[in-house]
Amino acid sequence: MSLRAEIHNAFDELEPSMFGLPERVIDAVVVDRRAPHGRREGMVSRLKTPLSLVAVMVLIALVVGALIGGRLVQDWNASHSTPAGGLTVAQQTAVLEARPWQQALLQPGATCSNGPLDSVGNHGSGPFHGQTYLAEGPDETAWGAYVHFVGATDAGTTGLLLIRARDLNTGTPLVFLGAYSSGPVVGTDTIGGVVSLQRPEVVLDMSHKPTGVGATGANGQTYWRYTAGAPHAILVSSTLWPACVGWQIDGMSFTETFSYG
Amino acid sequence: MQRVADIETPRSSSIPSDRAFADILRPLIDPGFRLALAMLRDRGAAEDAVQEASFTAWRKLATMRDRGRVRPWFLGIVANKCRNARRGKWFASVSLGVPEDVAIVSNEDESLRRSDLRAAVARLPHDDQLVIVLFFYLDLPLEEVASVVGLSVAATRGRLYRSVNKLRPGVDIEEAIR
Repeated sequence: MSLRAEIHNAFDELEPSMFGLPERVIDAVVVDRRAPHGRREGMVSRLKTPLSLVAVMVLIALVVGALIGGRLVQDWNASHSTPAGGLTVAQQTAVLEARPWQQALLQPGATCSNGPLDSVGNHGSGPFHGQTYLAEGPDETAWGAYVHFVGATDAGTTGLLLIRARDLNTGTPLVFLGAYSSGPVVGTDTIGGVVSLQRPEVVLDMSHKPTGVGATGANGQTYWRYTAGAPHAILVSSTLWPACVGWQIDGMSFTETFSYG
Repeated sequence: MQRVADIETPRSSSIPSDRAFADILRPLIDPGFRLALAMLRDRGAAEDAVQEASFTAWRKLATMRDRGRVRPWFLGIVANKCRNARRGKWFASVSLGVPEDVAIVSNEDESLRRSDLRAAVARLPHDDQLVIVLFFYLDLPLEEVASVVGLSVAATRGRLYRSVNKLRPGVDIEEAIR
């Protein structure tokens, strides 16, 4: 076998299917191209075709995801076994994304519960614990603001953890940046001159933990860094953060929630 | 999947509209993604590299003189994004994407050999990886590889020889690059 054929076989094994990547890329570029230059005339008509294509693709993905997710959850419940061992990362993610959001919106005038907190004051009772990373940020942009976080996962945590967050006053989902952000690109923003992609969730894979200095802590916890962003419309100007944010962390065998005010 | 060498790139000298830019960009996403995935071996990082390259391409397309060379130009941008991604401290310690140990259904030896070859390519310096991936995986002609890496054809041929020799010491170079 020639070297060319060997290299083709080696990289083709990665199965680089693009899952609609061209349209996602083009749509994001068109949106970004318009934002800084302020040329908005004709925007709706010019975006109509790609956005409709994206909408159809998203709808198909949602239906397929719901069907697959529902079937997987059904199988899991029927077998009373942990499905993580038999599922790919994508299938596990689909299962977790199908979990319903559990926190209700705050009633007018209600105060944010800001908790539960663990024994050292971090948010969440485990196996996930969230805290802000105060050494950096917040970073304010024309779109909104970004706050850096460190999440700690307890030793012994397995599988995937899916992290989502919403403003509990309006229901607006927060966006995420960085290495662990996941899901379709929902927007772009320029932070410090660098274009960043906004995604709707964070996925932490316990089989691919960060390594190096500062990646592990007391009691075998693993530290993960990620960045969450919120648009100006829901920010409190003095803190550059919403008044009350609900967090939901789904693992294959648990759902953990806390609020952060 | 369409092979890179089969893709015709549009030729136009005017500043493109959104639609025209989309038409230029669309056929470049596939080779760009395959290049990024081969260089980074991480689906998420590869998608980000292509996305960021597309932003850069949009902003610089108007300054490009030879629109007929858009493919090597775009792949060069992707390659730079990959180089930057590999320098990132988080990418260095984190990989959430394509697993190196692909599920083996049968023919275990073959799968292990393919995994070993990917690992061997990954151990090469960035510039060596780039010419290997462009020439052997994306099937670009040597002239276009030279355009992507910004070298003369002769210098690119030399780099390809050296890269193949690092990857497979003692191999017949002329036979390997045929």
